[in-house]
Amino acid sequence: MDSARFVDPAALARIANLSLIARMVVQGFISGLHRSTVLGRSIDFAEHRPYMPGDDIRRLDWRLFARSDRFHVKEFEADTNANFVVAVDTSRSMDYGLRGVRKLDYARMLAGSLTAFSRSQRDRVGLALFDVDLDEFVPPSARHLDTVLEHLARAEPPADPSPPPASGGRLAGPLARLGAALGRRGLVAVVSDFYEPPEDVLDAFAALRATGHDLMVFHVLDPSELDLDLGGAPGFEDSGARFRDLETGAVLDLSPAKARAAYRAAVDEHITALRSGFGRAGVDYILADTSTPLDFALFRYLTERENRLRHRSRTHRA
Amino acid sequence: MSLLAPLFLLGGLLVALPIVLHLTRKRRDPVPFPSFLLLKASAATARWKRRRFRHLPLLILRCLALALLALAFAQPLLPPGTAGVAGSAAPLDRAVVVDRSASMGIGARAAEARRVAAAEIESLGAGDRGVVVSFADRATAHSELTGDGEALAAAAAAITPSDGATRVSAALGLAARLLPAESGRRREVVLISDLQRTGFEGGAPSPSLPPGVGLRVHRIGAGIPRNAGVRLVRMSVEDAARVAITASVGFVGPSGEAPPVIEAELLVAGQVVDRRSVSLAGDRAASVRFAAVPAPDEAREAEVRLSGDGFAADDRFRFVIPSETAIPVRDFGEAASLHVREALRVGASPAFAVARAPLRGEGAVRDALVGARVALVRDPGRLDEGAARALAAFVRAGGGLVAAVGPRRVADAVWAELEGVFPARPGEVLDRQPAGRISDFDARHPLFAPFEGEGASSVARVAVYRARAATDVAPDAVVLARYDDARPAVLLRRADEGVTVLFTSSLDGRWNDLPRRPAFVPLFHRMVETAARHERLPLAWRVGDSVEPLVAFGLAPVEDPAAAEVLVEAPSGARSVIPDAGALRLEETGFFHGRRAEASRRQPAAANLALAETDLAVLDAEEVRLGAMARSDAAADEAAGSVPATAGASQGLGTPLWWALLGVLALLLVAEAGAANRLTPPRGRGVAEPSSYTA
Repeated sequence: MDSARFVDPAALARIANLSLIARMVVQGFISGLHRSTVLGRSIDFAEHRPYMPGDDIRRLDWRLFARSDRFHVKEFEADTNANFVVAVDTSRSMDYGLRGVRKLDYARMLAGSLTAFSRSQRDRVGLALFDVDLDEFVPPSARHLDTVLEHLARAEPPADPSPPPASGGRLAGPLARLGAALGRRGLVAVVSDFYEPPEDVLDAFAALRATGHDLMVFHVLDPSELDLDLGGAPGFEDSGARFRDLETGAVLDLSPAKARAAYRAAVDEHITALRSGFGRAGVDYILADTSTPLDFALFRYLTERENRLRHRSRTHRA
Repeated sequence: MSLLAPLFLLGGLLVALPIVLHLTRKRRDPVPFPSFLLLKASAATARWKRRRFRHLPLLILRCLALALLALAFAQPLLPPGTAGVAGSAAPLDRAVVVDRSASMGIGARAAEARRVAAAEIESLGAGDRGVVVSFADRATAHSELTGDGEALAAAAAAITPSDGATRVSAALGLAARLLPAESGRRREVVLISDLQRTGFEGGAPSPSLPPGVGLRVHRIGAGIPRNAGVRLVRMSVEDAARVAITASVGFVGPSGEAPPVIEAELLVAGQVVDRRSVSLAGDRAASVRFAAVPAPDEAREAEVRLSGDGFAADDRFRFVIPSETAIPVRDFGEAASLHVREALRVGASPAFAVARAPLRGEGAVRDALVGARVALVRDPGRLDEGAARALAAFVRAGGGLVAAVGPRRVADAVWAELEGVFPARPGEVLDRQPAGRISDFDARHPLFAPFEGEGASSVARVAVYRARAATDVAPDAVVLARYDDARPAVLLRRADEGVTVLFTSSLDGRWNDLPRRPAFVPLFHRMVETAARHERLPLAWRVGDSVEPLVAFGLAPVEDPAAAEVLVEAPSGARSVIPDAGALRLEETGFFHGRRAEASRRQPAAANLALAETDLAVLDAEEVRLGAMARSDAAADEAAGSVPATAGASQGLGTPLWWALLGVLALLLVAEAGAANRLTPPRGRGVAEPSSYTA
């Protein structure tokens, strides 16, 4: 078993190279899987790659062999099964992490790992970074892995609180633009903390769903957001503390001890609403607190991807 | 409660420090939280009001700790009445110490002192004990430590001023010894005095009481009275028949007040012989020179008296004009030396009555020596055998001989006569080129006493060109001075009753430059006085002096041990017998008289007020109280800031509280540390810093 498997995200966060992290996670994850036999075909040449044992020898490029005396296999665009775009929330609320890694760091590692994994499965990979708007967009491509990882590494929340949109939730705008930007159907993974009313969140995903994309969401939360136990935070006292909203900058004097029960209930209700809403909409909802190992998310992703492919195969056969 | 170091209470201001820190301590930034979306739902039921003071219990603990620390450093003492056995209910031992020095005779001081003493005795309660002590230059206990108030009151009422000086420390020491340290009893000394500054050694009180003995001080008399007094009287011999008296008069009075013009009288044998007006302007001191009076043929009582003022005890200065005012000297020489003659003439204290004497003939010399005290021989080689024999007999009989060598060698026959009285035989002439010096002399001997210290150089400057070697030095001779070649210069020998002083160079200036040197007159005078065995005695003594009776009264010693005692009559009429070897302590002013038992004529000796007692400057009562107590008690009392009338009773019996305070403080600090640890979150945990990834 690879050492990167089930590694604490906090330990991975100490590695500065996101590309390395992604590959470590993915390779460690893949080594525990059977090799996928699902290959696509297409007439659109994409690239050559070195021959590997197990490749169909019919796909050897003999012309290139004659020139270089090396075996290469021709890859075609159709070999990449789908578009995979990961959309990462870079809002200021993601700039938080008390017990584990910062949520944005976790999101970056998760997105990077998903992208790297997708690319290993011949998917075209893309990236969207959004706050109240779509800030960065890397269109899906078989050659965009490094670009995606590079953009992810640079992703940071805005320095100042962003004004809320005039209408609708904060997710509606960027996701609508993402849906418009994505041409072909594909798999879109959204990584966010979803601090929006559940109905606004679900409404925001409606546009993406309407374009036929397969959606999965990763709800990233710090454990302290689940139980309001902020012990260890500077200035925090259970009997009373002044809180500052990272999104808006507003402050609130509150007694966490008194508020904890109601807050936990509100969090549970929020998660339940999201889970059920996404379930009804056919969106895979994955709650990942920042202490969750990254390959757990990859399992969920792989499961979802296979389910999607099977569902698509049945649809085609039908 | 009293404080040993109340200034440390200022440290209590440090309490403001934690308050200010708690007030001004930078507020921590609000706790960041991702979103209030879910938090607001519970905010309505969990409102929290931010307090102005954070960690109020911690603040209180810190303030309390600092206040206790300041209080502990101030060293509080619990009054005896509130702790332990030495409370105010404990019985009291009180020593009432009353000043009876001469200065207490001013005005109504003595009566006031007795009244205060009576009040102190009367205030003793049941179970209390008291003792009455009076003091001047000596302290006397007038009673035992007793609870008998009547006996104590009677003892105090009997105290009257004496002529003694003030010695406070001795009195306090005696009082402390009379108060035994007994468990459960307080000890207290009450000092009743005019607090003359000179009554304290060094002019300031020193700790005289052991720890645990309180002191209260009653100062008697207010301020310094106007007072003129005779400080000193000197006598000089005008000529062989008359003496002149000079008195030093001083005045002390309120500053800014014009010194008075006072009348001064000289009385001899009770009769006023001269009267002068003395102006004490200027430095408030003056010298009064009275008209010369005839030198008496026997010791005569005399007195300088000033017109009366507030302090009568120092207005009179009694002294004795001695019978011998000039030392009879016989000068054996062919021609009178100018230097020797003038040196003897200027002698005033004592004076010298000089007469020429022949150098030859035993009978003539013997006749010349009748009535003489000293024979001066300036060239022994000129003496014939008979003169030498007479001189030797004179010395053996108690006469004095001062001999200086000359050009003539002492013949063997003459030396045979002088050998018994001369310290050494003048030998061959020694010429010195360069000149010799008197480089070594015994400054402790009275003969060279004037040249002790810085005066030594005046002797060393004498240039000696010629001298005679001292040969055949007598075993009992003493070399008092030597030349720089180590040869004897001045020798002394006691022969039977007489004394011979030999100078191995000349006195007339031919062999040395001594007569032209400043050292000549005092050196020559001392040679004559030494030979005459003249003692420079004061004209008067001071109260408190202890004197030898023979010296005080000018009596000759006797060989019979049984008769070697002096009958002494004090000015008050009290009589006592003092052995010759004993000491007479002068306790009162006036004329003492002493005589041998078989003699009818008595000799006077004058005693006057101690000079220190005439200085009426006083100290502050509080200064005396704090200075005379044991240091710890004084510090405690000073810290208490109590007044003398009420504070002294319990000094040194307070219970220290500061150790207990320090213990409480330690507990507070432990509690504070615990509270601080509990209330302050540990460092090192917080919101994770954003990472920076590089692709």
